[in-house]
Amino acid sequence: MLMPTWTILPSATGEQLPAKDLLQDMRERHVPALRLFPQDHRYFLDAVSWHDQVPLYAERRIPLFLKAGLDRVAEFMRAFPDATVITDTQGANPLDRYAWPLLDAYPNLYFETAGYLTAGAIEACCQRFGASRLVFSSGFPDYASGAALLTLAGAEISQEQRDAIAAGNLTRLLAQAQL
Amino acid sequence: MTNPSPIAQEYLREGRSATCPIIDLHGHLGPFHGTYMPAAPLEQMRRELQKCGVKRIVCSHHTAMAYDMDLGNRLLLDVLAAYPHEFLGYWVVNPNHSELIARDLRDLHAKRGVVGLKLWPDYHLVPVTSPKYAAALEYANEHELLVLCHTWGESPYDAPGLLGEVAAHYPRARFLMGHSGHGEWDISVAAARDLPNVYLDLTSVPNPNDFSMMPGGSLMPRASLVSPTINGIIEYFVEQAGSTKVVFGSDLPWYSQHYHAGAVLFARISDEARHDILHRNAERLLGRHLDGSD
Repeated sequence: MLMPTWTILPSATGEQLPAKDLLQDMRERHVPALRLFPQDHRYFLDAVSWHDQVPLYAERRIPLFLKAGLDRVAEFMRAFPDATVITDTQGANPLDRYAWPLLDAYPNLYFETAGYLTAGAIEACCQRFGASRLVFSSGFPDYASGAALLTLAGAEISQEQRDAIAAGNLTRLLAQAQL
Repeated sequence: MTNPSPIAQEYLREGRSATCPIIDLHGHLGPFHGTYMPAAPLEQMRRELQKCGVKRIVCSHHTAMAYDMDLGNRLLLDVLAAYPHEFLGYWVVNPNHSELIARDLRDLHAKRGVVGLKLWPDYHLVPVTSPKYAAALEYANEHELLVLCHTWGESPYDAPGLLGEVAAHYPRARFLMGHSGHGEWDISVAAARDLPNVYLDLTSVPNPNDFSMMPGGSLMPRASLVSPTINGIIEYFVEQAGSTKVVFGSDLPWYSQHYHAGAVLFARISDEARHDILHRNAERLLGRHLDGSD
C-alpha cells in the first residue's frame, strides 16, 4: 500500500499553509505524516523556526520523518521533547553513542533501520529498549532494498519483535495521528 | 518482494546456502575505540559468522591499524591460532614504521593463516604510491600475497587511480580494492577490468556517514557528492568488470554481513555470478589457505 507523506518548511517565508490549515488539508487527503529535510531545504531545527507548528503536530501525535545528522536531531528533540519523530541516520556507521542517550531521553523518538546497519545493532537495540523504537526502512531507491530486508530477517530477535519492526510499530504510529 | 534465485530462496528459508557458502575477504578484529560496535568481541564475531552462514573471514586487527601495529598484528596471530577454521588474516603495514616492517617481512609468508597485507593509506596519511610502501609491496609481489588496500574516491592517498598505478607495477600481488574506491566507480571498475590482479570489494555497498556533520568530527573522508547512490552498484560491477573480479567483504564488525549478503542475493545478476562473488573468487584467491595446509 502506498501512503502519502508531505514535506514541510518553516512558516516564516510563507511558502506553505498555516499549520491548522495544513492539518485540515491532511485530514481531507488522508496524509498521516510529515517530513523534514533541513539540510536539503536549508533551515534551522530550533524553536525559533518551528514554534508555531511543531507543538501542534506534537499535540496531535503526527509522526515527523526527520532526515538529519544526529546532532541536529538532538537539537530538535531538546526544543520539542514531546514530538513524535522518526529519523533516518545519515549513513551506515555505528552511532549508538549518539543515539542511545536520545532514545533514553525522548520516548517518542524512533529510528529507521535503513541507517542501522552495524553488525548486531538491531539485536542490541532490542535488548536495551525493546523492539518498539525501530521501524523498517530500506532507503530505496538510493540503497538496495534486499539488503535491508535480509538484515532484519537475519537478526537474532523474536518473530514478535521482527513483526513489530517490519510493520507493527509504524502502523501504530500512523494510526495514532489525530488529524 | 519476490526473488527467483534458488540461492536466495534457500538463503531466506534456511538462513544460509549449502551450495553457495560465503567467504568474507574484508573484516576486522578487536574493539575500535572511536565507536561502539556490539559485534566486536571475538565470541560475538564468531556468532555473526554462524548467523550469516559465513564459513571463513579474512581480518586485520583494529589495534594494528589504528593504535599499535606491532601489538595488533600479534593479537591477530593469537586469533588465527585459536580459530584457524574460521579466521584468516591480513598483516597490517603502517608505512610510518619502516623498521618494524623490515623485521616482519623476513618470514611473513610463513606465518600460519596470514594471507596478505592490509594497507590503510587514508588513515596512515601516506599515499599508496609512496616509496614507503615499496618493501612491503615487493614482498607481496614476490610471494603472490593478497593486498587489501582501503580505497576512496578522490582521496590523495588511495584513490582508485593511485591503486591502479601500484597494481600495474606489482603484477604478481593480488590487490583487493577495499570499498571499491567509493564514489569513483568508473575508475575502479576500469582498474578491475584492465588489470588481472585487481578486484572490487563489496564494502562499497553501504553508504558511510559524513562524519563532518557530527560534533566530534573524524578522519573519515566524505562520500563523493557526485555519486551518492549505491543501489545497483553490484550490477554495475558485474556488467563492467565481470563477476570474477568482485569479492564479498562486509567490514564486520562494522557492518552486518546480512546486509551485504542481501545486496548480492537480491541483485539483478545470475546465480553463477552470485557463486563467483560469494565464494568462488575467494576460493581461488585463498587457495591452500582454505584447507589449512599453509
